[in-house]
Amino acid sequence: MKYFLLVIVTVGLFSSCSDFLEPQSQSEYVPQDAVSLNEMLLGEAYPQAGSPAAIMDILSILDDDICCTDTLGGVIGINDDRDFIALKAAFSWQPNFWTVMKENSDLYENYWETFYQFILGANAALDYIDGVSGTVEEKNLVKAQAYALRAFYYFQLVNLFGEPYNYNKDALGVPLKLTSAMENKELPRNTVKEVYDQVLEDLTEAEKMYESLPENMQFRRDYRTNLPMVQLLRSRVLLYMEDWKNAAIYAQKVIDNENFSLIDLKSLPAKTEQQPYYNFISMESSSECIWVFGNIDSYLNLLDINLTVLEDPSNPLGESRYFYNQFNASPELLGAYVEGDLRKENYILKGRNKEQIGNNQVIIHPDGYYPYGKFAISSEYAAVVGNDFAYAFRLSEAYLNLAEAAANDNDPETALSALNTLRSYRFEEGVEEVSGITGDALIERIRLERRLELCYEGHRWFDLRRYGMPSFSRTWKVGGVTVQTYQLQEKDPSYTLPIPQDVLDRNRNLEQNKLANPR
Amino acid sequence: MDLNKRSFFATMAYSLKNRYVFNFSIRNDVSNRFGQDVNHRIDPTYSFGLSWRVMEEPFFTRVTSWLNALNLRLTYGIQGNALTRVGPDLTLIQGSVVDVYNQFASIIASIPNPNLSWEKTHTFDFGVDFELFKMFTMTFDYYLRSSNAVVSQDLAYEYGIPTMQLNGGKIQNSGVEFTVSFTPIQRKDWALSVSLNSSKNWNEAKSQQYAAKRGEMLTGSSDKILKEGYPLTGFWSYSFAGLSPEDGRPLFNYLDVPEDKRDSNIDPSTFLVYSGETEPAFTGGLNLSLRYKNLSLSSSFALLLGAKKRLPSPYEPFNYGVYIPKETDNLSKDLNKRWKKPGDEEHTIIPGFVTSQQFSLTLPDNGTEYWMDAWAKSDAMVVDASFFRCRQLTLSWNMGQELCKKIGIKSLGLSASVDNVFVIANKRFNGFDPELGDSVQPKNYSFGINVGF
Repeated sequence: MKYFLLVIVTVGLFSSCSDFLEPQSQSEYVPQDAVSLNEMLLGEAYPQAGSPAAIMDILSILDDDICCTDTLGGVIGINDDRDFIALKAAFSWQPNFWTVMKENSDLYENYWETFYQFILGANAALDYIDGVSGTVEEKNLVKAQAYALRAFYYFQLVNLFGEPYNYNKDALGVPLKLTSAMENKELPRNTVKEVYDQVLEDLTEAEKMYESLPENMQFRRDYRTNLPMVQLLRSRVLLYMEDWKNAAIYAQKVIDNENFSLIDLKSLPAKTEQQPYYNFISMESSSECIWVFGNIDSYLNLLDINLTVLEDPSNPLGESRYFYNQFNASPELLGAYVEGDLRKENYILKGRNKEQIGNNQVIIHPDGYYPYGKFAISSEYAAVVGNDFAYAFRLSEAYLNLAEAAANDNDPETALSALNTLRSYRFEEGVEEVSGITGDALIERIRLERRLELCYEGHRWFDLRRYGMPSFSRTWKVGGVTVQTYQLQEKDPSYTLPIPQDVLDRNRNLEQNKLANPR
Repeated sequence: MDLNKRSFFATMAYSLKNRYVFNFSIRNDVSNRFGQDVNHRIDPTYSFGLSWRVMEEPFFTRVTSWLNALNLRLTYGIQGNALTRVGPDLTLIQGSVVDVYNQFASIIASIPNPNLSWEKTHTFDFGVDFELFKMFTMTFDYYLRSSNAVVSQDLAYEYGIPTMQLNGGKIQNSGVEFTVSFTPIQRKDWALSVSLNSSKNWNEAKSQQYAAKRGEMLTGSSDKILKEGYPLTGFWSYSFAGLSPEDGRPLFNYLDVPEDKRDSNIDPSTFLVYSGETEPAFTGGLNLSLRYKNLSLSSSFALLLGAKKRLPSPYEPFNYGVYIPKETDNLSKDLNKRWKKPGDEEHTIIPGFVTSQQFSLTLPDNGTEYWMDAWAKSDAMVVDASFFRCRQLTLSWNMGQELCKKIGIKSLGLSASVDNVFVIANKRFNGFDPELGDSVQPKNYSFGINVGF
């Protein structure tokens, strides 16, 4: 008998080190303290200036403050062409505009997804903060921000995809996802009222947390959310809910905050070639800014789209080209700035397009008023893309919230006083005060002032919704040639945006909004 | 994360009388992938095998004149794979200092996932190899594999993360694979050899762990169980019911459900029809080679049976019928056969270009689908993807040694070959390749001279 036996045994060579299997890494780690969760909030829950996440930008293409340009020019090149199909669908409030945008161009953004990604960051902070080390102050600072951000995101979501609170608060809003846990479950939509209640609850918690901190931690110029931001947001939410008394109280808290003051447009530094426009969306240059957020690039994606003009070939450089902006500020908005109102020339960029005709020769083609101008503008008369923010919570909104709440609450004195205070910082010397009006006339007057003051900051569309969803029309033009006029009916279903199809495809328990007929 | 791993590995082989071989191996990986949870760091794999060389048995010596080899093999293994598992902690990735904020930022690397259990695969394999009359060799294998694989599933957007890992359900695969080579003639002037290989796989979804969505059922999945009892690679389609005699738009069965009966959680297979499997049930290859003196001819054929696929929609450049295509788009010839006037529905299944404002229909699950898109995903566009293909034909000639010597070279060879000689497939492919759908595989002719000095 022959036996052949072979046994090989290899035992791990590295077993001497007892902590070898402890999780370790420089870049990936399990958060153990409040500081780590605070860093996570910045990375996951803040709409940073330098990140491409779009949360607000669709709003400005929907309202009555923009129109198509009347200048000449054409759509040239296949990409432009697809972008124009996408923009036209959004501009005309088509019931399938998300799908058309998605299928035609990369201008499509899934806002629903982006908001919920930020909400996850806030939820994760709230879920884990009690289990990590850190002082009470450090933990409360994390909680305060997480509640403030979550409230803001749900407020935006419910106003994009749910009917207006003052019109039908029992309508479907958005699903409330309040923890970071993953489940194999598809959440149904909560009602508009339930979402608003959650927003108020989060704002209450945020306020409580900020108030537990020493005063120098309640507001810091560190680009994080802060107590006055929470108070201003609360006054806005209450205004939308028509809780006039409390809306006024919270607006007043912001006005009384000594960290902020209105900028007097009369005494702005003179415009120079280097800085033709003042930057109002900045914690450094604007004493009105309470919190800044969002990215300029994604705003420009939708509202800085060019029409091309081919110049005549007798030009010494051969065929040259220059561009006009497809979207301009609407004549209704521009016409509402009366003589002496300094906001038109400061808030709305008057475009200048350059055409290169020789090596160092350029022709400047003056363009219309562009639908932006409050954020950083370069010496080239173009928006600065990079580390500047697109949106802000500003002090002037507090004055307008207070005025509107007081006017609705039969307190015309307070309303007029707030209105005139704001206006005294916005006009040339010797402007007449608004006086002698009450009731609906006063409310209308305040609404107009709100439109003039807060244009292109993501307010107008939501304001139109709560004003009763009025009917208005807009005309799609290309190169000044009318293509079609579209009418938004009073209380049009399009005032509540359809839920994008890709969102519905992933959650079968979501019910689509009532859709308008194709226009 | 730095992945620290420690492995134990042991293998043992034991051979008795040179005819019974027994082997066993165990491998145990321990890793820190699972964070602080010590119990979840171990991940063992075992396998066990037995083989028997029958020819070495004394009582078999009699038949060695015609039976030249016979081996039987048997293996069984358990493989656990936990490396895809996400740990029980929230983990972050440390980022750099963010401009403007001048603070560090971190992003989420993973969120704890409570829905995951071990991925475990059991494999059983039985094989036979034999050789007869020194001209006929065959290898035959039967396998049975059951697994509960971890798959990635799209998560609803409200969760803030795009996908989640979960166990895709119990899947059982069984199949046979065999290779036969036959060399009936092997003489000085003549040689002929034939080899045939083939495989057939059966799989069955044993238990379903989540409800499949409509989109998944329409495209099919290769790793998730869409419906219990159906093959893993099955897919479903809308049921086409002809074209409307009025405007030539496509009509469908089972979709017309009154509004109050619609339910977003309805099982999509109640309004879709099963279309078959995307993977073939049988694949086979045949290679033939024939030699006469210095001239040889070889050929290679492939046969694939039982797979189904959808034809590309001629309306694709129209964005499913919503837009007029651009003049630069390349359009399908099939559009000439589209519905143009009432009566055409009798002899065409290609819808007319719908000009009304209404392009979409509402489904029983409250979803919407463009007509043209639904038609493109309907059973009208499903065809049998079986084919028989001649992959290659080669004719070659080598000059004899003596002749070479005479003209002072070492060797000389000439060869000519054709690739993708022909393919026999469903005529609905319109001459396009059944594997590519909308183009053809190029026919390559090549000619070669090989001279050795």
